[in-house]
Amino acid sequence: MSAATDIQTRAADWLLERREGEWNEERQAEFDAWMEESLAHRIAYWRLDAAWGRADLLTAMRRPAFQRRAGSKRKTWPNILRAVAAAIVIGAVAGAVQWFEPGKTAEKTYVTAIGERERLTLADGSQIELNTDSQVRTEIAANQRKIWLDKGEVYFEVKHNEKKPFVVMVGDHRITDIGTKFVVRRDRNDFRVSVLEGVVRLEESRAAPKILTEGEVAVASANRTQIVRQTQQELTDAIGWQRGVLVFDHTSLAEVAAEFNRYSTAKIVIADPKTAALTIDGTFPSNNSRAFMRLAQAVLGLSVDDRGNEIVISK
Amino acid sequence: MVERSEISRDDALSRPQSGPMTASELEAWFVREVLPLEAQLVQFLRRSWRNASDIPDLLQEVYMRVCEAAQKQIPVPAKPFVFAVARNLVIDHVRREHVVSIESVSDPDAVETAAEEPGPDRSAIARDELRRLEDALDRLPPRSREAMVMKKVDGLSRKEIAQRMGVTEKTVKWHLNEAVRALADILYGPEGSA
Repeated sequence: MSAATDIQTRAADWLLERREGEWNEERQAEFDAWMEESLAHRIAYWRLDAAWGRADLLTAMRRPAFQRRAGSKRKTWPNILRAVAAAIVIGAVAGAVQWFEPGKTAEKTYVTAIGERERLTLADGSQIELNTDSQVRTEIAANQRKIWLDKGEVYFEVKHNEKKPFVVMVGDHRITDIGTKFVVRRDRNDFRVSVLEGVVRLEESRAAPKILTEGEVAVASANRTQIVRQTQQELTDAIGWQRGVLVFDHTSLAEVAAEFNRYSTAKIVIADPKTAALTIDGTFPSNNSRAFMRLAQAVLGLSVDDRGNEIVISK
Repeated sequence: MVERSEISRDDALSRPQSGPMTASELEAWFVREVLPLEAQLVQFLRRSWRNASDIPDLLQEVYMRVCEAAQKQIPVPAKPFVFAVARNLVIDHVRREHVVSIESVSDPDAVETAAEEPGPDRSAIARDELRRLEDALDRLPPRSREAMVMKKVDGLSRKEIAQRMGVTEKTVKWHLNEAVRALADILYGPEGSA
């Protein structure tokens, strides 16, 4: 192996590692030092990075892995009690019992900024992961575990404890869980609960209790709740944010822009409805809307006007 | 006062400028002006140098010399300068090593330095680029291609790729490493433009 090939191999390792999830300040410092060490290192890295970046275009080739509509059961709940604060109770068959110090209460607030995400282990051993621009408050007491989802999207992996219900509050809505994996996403007063694993019970004051099984998603708006069944692929795609990607499947550019805008302070603005209706397939890094726009520019022939905090796109 | 956005920086780079460049300016210039010459550069080096296994090192040295010079003053246009560096490098090596005769250094002036033809429209470029990428994928070693598609197209993690391919994460790391390097060789080297 030549000296140049050695350097390229090292540069390729760095390039790949930087794109994996476990990148941290320490590794960044080591990477900076390696780049600083020699111009040859920098050149090798730039060259590979440029080639790898060009291959981003390949994401446009992603074929939909499933048909969205086919086979999806859709049940609509009638609007029984309009404007009544709905209490949703999710229950699951309990497992192991955890020991807690009686009477002890700890209140904590966790916040992620735009573009950040954070995984935490709560005092009871449950794991949560906050997506971009999210806020939760937690209160772990002797007889109850309570989480307020003030905004954003959170993944819950609840440690079973039948004696200590796990309650998620979304505004006036109340979600109680006794153990499973699920995601709650809140957009102002609308929210959705997606069950990734386990069986949960869902109660609302405006409707009869329902059992939500794995793969079912409750979509709640001001006056109704729909339950939609999603495939494993759809569920996996929807939590792509946990590995830093957004997955689109025949998604309109309007929705794509709205998704990217959750992750960036630079907001994509679509100038006209015709452009907004274009559809996108593919997997894209959630933290780089500019890279996505460059791609859209090249593939869809759109014009992009980058004004810093606003990226205006038009046909 | 000049607004320093990414766009204005690109504009600034397209005209001659003096003074030292930042690392990211040098990178942008290198990727835009020098890398596209790689295919011709490798062909030139192959014609000029008998031992094919030396080519990666010679190429690296050309890039080093070009970037060192560009740090001080950007050569405009880039192409004649890059090939002059390559020719001088080959001559230096010939003198130092007495391996090949001076006649084996082919005439670098034969490498055309004509101005760029007017470019095709944007969507045609995108289609060409996609075709080139698909072509590049086809040329990758099969296992590396498989790993790269899972990584790039499906957005899977190394762990997930390892599970799907039924190999260790370390093996996936190697396949991906090979894919990254081969991709650059294919996209920029003479094999890709063949």
